[in-house]
Amino acid sequence: MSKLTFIKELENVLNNKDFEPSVVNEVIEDYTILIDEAIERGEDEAQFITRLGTPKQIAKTLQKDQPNVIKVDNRFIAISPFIALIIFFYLGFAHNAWHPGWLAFLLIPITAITLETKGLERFVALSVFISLIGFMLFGTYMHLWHPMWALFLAIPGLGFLTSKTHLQKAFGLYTLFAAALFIFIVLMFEPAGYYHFLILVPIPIMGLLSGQIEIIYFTDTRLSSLLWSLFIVIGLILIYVFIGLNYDLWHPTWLMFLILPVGALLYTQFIKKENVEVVAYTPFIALTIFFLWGEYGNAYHYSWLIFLIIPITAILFEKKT
Amino acid sequence: MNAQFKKGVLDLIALHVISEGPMTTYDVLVKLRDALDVNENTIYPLLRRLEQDTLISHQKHQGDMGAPRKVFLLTDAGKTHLATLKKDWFEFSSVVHTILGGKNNV
Repeated sequence: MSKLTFIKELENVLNNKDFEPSVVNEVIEDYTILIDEAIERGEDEAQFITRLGTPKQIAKTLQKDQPNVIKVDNRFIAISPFIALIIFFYLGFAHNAWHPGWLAFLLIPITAITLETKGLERFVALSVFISLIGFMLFGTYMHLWHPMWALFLAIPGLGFLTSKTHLQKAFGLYTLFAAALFIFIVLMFEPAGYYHFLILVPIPIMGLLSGQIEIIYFTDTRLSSLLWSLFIVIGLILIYVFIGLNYDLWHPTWLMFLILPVGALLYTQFIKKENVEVVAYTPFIALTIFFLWGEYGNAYHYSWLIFLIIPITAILFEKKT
Repeated sequence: MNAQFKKGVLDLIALHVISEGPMTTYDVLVKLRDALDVNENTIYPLLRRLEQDTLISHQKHQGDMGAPRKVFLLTDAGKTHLATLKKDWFEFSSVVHTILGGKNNV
């Protein structure tokens, strides 16, 4: 690696690790001078840089040696679970709103994302929770599960917008526009039939073709994997819409979409024989039990406890290092 | 040499090396590399930490060519700390030596 590449990479790594800009500048200056001096004293540039370690190793060591200052941001993240619990209990006991009061717990990831991510990345990460909050509130209080499930399209829509190519950015704009238009059409005109769903059909196709939605090669060829993926994704959407429109079960039928990430995990573990931590399954299991138990057992006030299986599993199955 | 041993005495050795006279990062790196065969990616962060702990300080020194270089010196606190570390080290190594029974048991 040349000095220039090394310094540039080091700068990127330090910036990504959220070092203060003044620290980044100082470290970069110091390493530049160090390498220059080594070269002047007859060291081989490439060998010397190799011996200095990779930029990631350097950043890790520097981080370890930083003074142990607790940033104000971290304090907010640390207290967010307690604030969420207070809000949840208040809504539950005072207003009997255990559901959707549990949404208060989303304050925890929302706080962390807001304080730890920047720019469009922040909106993409937040879109998951904002969509869920919107879906739950509109669904619970206005019984607008349909068409508000389309709010979840904001997630791939914003994801596309963060892509590098103009084409993918255009897909992102289309996805957001199509979702908004779809919601508008359903709310304003309450159309019969399924024709208005056609504006959404390009979204999974664009996602698969652009590589934003990852294809698992579970068949021999890329083409057949692509076709199967399309078949499964579109099939799931059609089943969901059919059940929703005919039986008014938009919620909690949407849980069926968890088949996709769980299927990907099972495929990775049992077909590809790669290591998948047990804890990776627990959010999906917890979410499913939480909603089914809460909805049909009318037990949202304590079904949230099932989420504790996530940290419990993590502790029980933590690999010794 | 055992890596854990080296880690334990790195502060002591680095402070001692710097006590011998003004040193650039490169000087310290070469001395520690040659003497202890330490991992070179640990030296710069070590110097930063010693400076943050006010055990060493730096001055900018303009050489014949290139940008001015940092040369490190021990602060008063660093000199005191080095003396304490040396004392601790000699006591500790003496005890270990006694327990192990000296050279005959090696």
